[in-house]
Order: sequence, then C-alpha cells, then structure tokens
Amino acid sequence: MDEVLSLSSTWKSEDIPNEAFVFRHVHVNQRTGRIPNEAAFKLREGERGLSVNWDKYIDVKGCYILLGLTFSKTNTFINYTAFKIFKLKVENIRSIVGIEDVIHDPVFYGDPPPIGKPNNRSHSQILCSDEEEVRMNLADYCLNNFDISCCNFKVTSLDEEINILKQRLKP
Amino acid sequence: METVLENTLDQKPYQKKAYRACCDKIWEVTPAKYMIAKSYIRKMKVPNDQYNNWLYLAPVNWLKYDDKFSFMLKIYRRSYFIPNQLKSIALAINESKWICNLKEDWDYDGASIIDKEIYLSAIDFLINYSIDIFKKTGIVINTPEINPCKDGSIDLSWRTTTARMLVNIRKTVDELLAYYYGDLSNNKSPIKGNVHLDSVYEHLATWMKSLA
Repeated sequence: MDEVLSLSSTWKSEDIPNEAFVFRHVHVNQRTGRIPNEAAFKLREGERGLSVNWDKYIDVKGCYILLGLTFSKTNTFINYTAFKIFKLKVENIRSIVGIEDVIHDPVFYGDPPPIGKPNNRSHSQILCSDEEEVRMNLADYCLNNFDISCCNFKVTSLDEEINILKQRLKP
Repeated sequence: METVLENTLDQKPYQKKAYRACCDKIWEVTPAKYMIAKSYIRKMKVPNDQYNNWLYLAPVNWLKYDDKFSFMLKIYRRSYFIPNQLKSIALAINESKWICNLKEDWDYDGASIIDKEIYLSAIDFLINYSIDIFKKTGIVINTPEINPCKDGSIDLSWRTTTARMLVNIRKTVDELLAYYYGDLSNNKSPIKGNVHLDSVYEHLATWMKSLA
C-alpha cells in the first residue's frame, strides 16, 4: 500500500491545502505497546513516502472499505480489522522536520479495476526520509494529539457491507 | 519468575540435555551459585569467531566485577547474565521473542520476516549498553519497547519524562548497524548517527544515561 502505482488516470493530482486532513492506516499488533509506534512510519527500501488518504475524497469508513477490498502481498484480502486509522492535519505534518511535503497521488488501475487493487482517488503521500527522528516525530504527533487523531470506528460494523462488495468483485 | 537453575543443578547441571531443557527460561542466579554457573558457561561450546567468544565470556567477566544477584537470560541458545536491577529489561526481552515467529507479510502490507540475526543483534545492543551504563554509573536505564519494522529491522524505543530515543538495528549491505536518534525535552541535546554493534561506544552510552 505504500507503493506508488499511479497509472494513467483520469484524476489529476491536486494541491493539498494546509487545512486538509489525511488518514493513515496503522497495523495494530496486540503485543506492541504504544499505538502508533515509530515502526508504523517505517519505509521499505525504495519507497519515497508514506501512503495516506486525503479527506477531500474519503472518510474513515471509506478507508476501511478500501483496505478490505485490497489484496495483501499473499493475494488475499487484507484483514481490515487489524488496523487503526489516524487523522493527521496536513499543516502539522508539513511542519515536522524531515517531512518534504504531503502530495496528492491518485491511483487508477483501470475501469473496472482488477480484483484486490481498487482505484483510489484520495491516495496521497507524505514524502519523507526514513530517518529515526522523522518517525519519532510522526509517532509523537499522533500520541500527543491522540484524542483528535485516533479515529474511533466500529470496524466490525462493516463486515456485511465489505462481504457484499467482495462478492460483487467475483467474475 | 521461574527458578530453573536450582532444580537443574540438583540433577545433572552440565549435561546438554538439561541445558536444552532450560532454553528460553530466565534463571535466577545467586552468589552461592556463582562459581557453578561460571564453570557451566565455560563448558558451553563456544563458537570460533571472536564476536561470539566475546558474547559468551563477557557475562563471566561481569560476574567477576560484581557479585550481586543476577539473572541468566537465555535467548535462542545465547546466554546473558543480567543484574537484578535490570530485571524489567530482561523480562521485556524475554517477552519479545514472538518477533522471530512473524511470518512474511505479517502486517498485510508486505512486511518482511525478522531475521534472527537482526533480532539477536538488537538484544545484544540493549543488554550491552544497559549493563555498561549500570556498571560504570549505577544508572538503570528505562525499559524500551522492542518493535519489529516492516523492512525486517528492529526498533528499540525509549520515552522518559525528560528524554526520548529511537534505535533501529538493520542490515546495510553486509553489516549490521544501529541507527539512532535521541533528544531531551524540547529537542535539546540531540544525538544522531550510527554505530557498529561490535562494542559499546562511549559517546552513545554517555548520552543514554538520560534514559533513566
């Protein structure tokens, strides 16, 4: 999900204003302490930024549905209940040392998109270096603003809806 | 805390079978058992390369320095003597072993498995620095969070009321390095860089005293 896979899309990349918010999904491991911790903001080799979704085109529910319809690397649908979603203010993210920018990067795979790879107009990226300082600052931003940034959402309420959508995807 | 050493010693302390049976347990070692434990370590098969020699022999040297109660922590056949004062660090390490059991794609986002070598290097780093600081200054640093990262590296993360630090142990080309960043409240006295894992670096250990 942190891959940049923008294909020729009908969606133009737009400027994200400072007042906007982006959603970041964080994998929740039962055994880890703080959520999110710095590991949630680690880049893999070759990645330029962290995947987020711009709130202009999506809400928390939409983020979970998108996760639920996406394939993991093992070609099975992602367990969307294993994630928490954090809402980050773009202005604050841009002010963190080591963050280059927050850019809109819509992802379009086709019409209809292949199973497990939904199109995502809200897809954006936090361009940053993979340095320890940056990851600490991102984790601390979420923790210091936990009440605002952590999106409380009853994920299991989406089970039926996501199952119906998955059924529709079957050829 | 399970006391394993005593029972083992009453049976056949130097036999490999007993040794294996005690794998992955924390042993309580008392000064009275010190000499026995020391000779027990000497009888362990020590690998030829220098690093592992150092790893196995260092706890013995430490015991010479301090006769106080200590723990023997066994992680995947590696043995560490840890002073009682650092008990919470030993427990955190013992509880972190699940990290090595993670499967490919454990975060549903293409995460790599955590190589045992990297995990053990992170444990070495934590134990070596916390013991070194304790030996030289008597300061007990806080227990860090030990977290796996999606690229197969390990994070050690500290938060205290006055300081914070993140150490990431990862493989770069052919060598393992610890990349670190730390600062005091309001970004004062920042420290940043990377070190090899072959020894305890004085400048880093000095800064890490702030993590008490």
